[in-house]
Amino acid sequence: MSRTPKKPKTTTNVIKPNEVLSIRKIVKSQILDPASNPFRGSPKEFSDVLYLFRRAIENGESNSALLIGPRGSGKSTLVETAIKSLQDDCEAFDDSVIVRLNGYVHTDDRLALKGIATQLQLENAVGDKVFGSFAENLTFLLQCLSQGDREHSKSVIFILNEFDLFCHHQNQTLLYNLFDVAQSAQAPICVLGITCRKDVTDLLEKRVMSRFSNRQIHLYPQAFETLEEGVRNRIQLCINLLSLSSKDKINISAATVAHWNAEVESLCHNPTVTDCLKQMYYTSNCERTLRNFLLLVISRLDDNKLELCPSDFSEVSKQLHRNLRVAMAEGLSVLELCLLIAMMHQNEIFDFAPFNFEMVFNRLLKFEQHSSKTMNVDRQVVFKGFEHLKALEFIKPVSSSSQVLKEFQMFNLMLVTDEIREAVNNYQGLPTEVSQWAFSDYT
Amino acid sequence: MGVLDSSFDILCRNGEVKQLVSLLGQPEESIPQCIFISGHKSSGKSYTIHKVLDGLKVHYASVNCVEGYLPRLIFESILSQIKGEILPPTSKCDDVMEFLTSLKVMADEMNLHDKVVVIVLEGSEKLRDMSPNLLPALMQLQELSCLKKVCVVLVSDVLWDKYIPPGGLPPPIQIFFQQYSQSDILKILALDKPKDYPADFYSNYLQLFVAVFLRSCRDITELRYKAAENFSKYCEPILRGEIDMNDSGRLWKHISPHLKTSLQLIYMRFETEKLSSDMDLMKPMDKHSTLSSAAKFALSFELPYYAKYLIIAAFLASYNSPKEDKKLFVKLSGRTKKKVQKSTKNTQTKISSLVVGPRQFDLERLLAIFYSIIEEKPHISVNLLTQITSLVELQLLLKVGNDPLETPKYKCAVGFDFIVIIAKTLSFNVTKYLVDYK
Repeated sequence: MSRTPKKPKTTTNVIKPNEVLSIRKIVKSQILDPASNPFRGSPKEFSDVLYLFRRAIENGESNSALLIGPRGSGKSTLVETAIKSLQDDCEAFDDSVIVRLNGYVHTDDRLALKGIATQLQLENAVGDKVFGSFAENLTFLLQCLSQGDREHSKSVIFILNEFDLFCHHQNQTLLYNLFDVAQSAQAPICVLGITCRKDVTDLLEKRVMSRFSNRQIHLYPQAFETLEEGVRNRIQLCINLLSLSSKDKINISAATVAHWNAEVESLCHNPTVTDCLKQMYYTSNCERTLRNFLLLVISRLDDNKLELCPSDFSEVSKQLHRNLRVAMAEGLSVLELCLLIAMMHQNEIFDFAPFNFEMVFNRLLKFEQHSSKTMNVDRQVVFKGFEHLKALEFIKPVSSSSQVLKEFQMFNLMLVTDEIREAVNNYQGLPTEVSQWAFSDYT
Repeated sequence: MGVLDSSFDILCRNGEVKQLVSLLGQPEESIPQCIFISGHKSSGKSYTIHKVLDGLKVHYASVNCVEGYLPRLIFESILSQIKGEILPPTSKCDDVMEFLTSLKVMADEMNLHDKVVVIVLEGSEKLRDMSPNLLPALMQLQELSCLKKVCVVLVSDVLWDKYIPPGGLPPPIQIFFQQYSQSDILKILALDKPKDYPADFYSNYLQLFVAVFLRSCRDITELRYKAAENFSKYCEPILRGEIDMNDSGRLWKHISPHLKTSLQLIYMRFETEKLSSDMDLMKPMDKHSTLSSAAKFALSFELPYYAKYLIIAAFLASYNSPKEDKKLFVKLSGRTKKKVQKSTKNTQTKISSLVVGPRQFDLERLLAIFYSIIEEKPHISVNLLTQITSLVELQLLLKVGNDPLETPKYKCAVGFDFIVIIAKTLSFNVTKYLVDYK
């Protein structure tokens, strides 16, 4: 770790060891805690969702909608922020209930119904009642909420996370009933599905589709005219996530806060750091990647190391962008690496046709005959190495039939020639004939 | 924090320990949802994470997904480990939802809301084969359970890019355990030093040992096993008083053949002692122990005379095409003429059938070949046919299909090496009958 010369001078004066830990704590929670990250951007989509909720809560209007956007585009954050803002300024909010369902958790309709009952706090009401059908059960639950006329009944907001998974439930009963209730205005409910699948409406059955309002809200990650603008936005986001706001009630002196923020500001404009951020932005515009990155950077602070420096950023970035397949291949034994090289040559000669153990072993034997030093390989030991590669999923079976003897099962290589050659280059103490073999145009 | 670092007694894993501590070490800080640890087999992944969690004194549960082959087993094991007692048999936990509810109840009871709870899942590549919703649900456990200090640590030999399903998953924080270098391996193996030998002596032995073994194997567990096994052999002449402790040259001469045979049996966990003592106790270097392990395996069956011919016939039927049968086994057929035509037509591009694998053949073809390669002609009898059945029982032949009406079909399940050894005992030349040999 390279130390900048000015570092010891500043650390002694400004940031004290006990303050560093509190800074670390605050910044970590800024990066990780969803509550401290309100939704940014896309004001139109946000107001659409907000409007939908507001109508349901205040006027008891039923509705249904889908919120569609790629992973990490902030769908859940948008919904949570909308709910939070309603909580703050809408009086009727206390009379409504929010039911959150998740496709990963509520994997079938029975579980979903149980989840709804729990979240509506109606388990006791359901008790041991026997219901004829799913629809009856659901309407009973909803009726429990309505007291008298429409104005006074409680409105329910259903948020279905991973909406596409609900489409795979048998007969789509849950969706059918929810949309049916919403459409026929039996009870004031609002159904919002969140999904990352753009073709999700194709998954809906016809009778379900006809009951859905067909309102779709699309959310995309922020788009920028030019790459430079995107990078600039990234840097700003990075500064926001790292700097401390003065309104936090913290046991850090104002001078330290000011100093820290100034440091962060200058750090984020440091060419090394911007290069890291740029590189990351070029490969992925997902915000979660940036957060993971910053978390690792901020975790490097402790009471021995009081300030961040550009090398922290570049080291973490190197760690994240490392090709782990190559790193994994470097950790193989020489024999296993030789097997990989043999497979690589096999692929070159036979134009990426699948291979089996015998073919690779023959190729290895040929190499052994040509090379000066004998490798002294036993067939069974080589086979163990082959199975190790299979366990690492460097090679993948073409078909999984158990009829074939394992020596003759066909495989495809899952590594690229360049990756194998890079691993050969980086390998410590590899015999020269092996590396020559890897780089030869074998015929 | 500096104090904590030094208290973990883990060799060669300083960077990884530091990173784990910096992520999980402070109970009042926010905790990432999911950490993914990957690295080679036996590179200390589980050991490190367990040591770190023990040292940090956090609540944790650790499940191996090979043992917990059903979601229910994983969930119940996690819950009982967090609770610290065995769950009553009435409380069943079959799916993610029940798991989340019981986890929340448990958190309320034990006041876990602001304590760090870590769930370690070893062999997590198995999770992919279970229900498709399980892995994403576990990775978002913090979000789903509303416990802010829950972290799931996935430990695996397989890299993260093999995990991502078509729908995508939120990226976890990845920590990669670099394979041990040669000097690391020496350091770790030196921990197993027997008490009554000096450190220098043992490290000399390890140098020799690693020089032989490292090319084929970098698996620490296997290396430790083999090192311990061979060390007793290494010390034998010293105990007998034949070689002086400091005479490393003569010791090397003594041990190197042992190491070579032991290298052939790597991962097999045969008792080498037993094998050689079966052969001949006094002279370990007689002609049997120079045989390869494949030969030992082939001879260990002690097949009867006819069975040997049958297995050879099965091999020939498996690896020659039926078209060639006439040419190979019928005497006085017009073979020269055909051969000239063939050799001009066939260029090298054809892949030898020896590497493609055995093809199936029916009983009649097997018997026809059998009768043409054996000199005396035994009658077809029940005795002969039972030989075939017993070869199938021994898994040397494979029966294909089980339709009782058709003539049975077989495949040969042993390789060329095996057949050559069997044929040698009969002084029979197999290669003469193999079209694709060289």
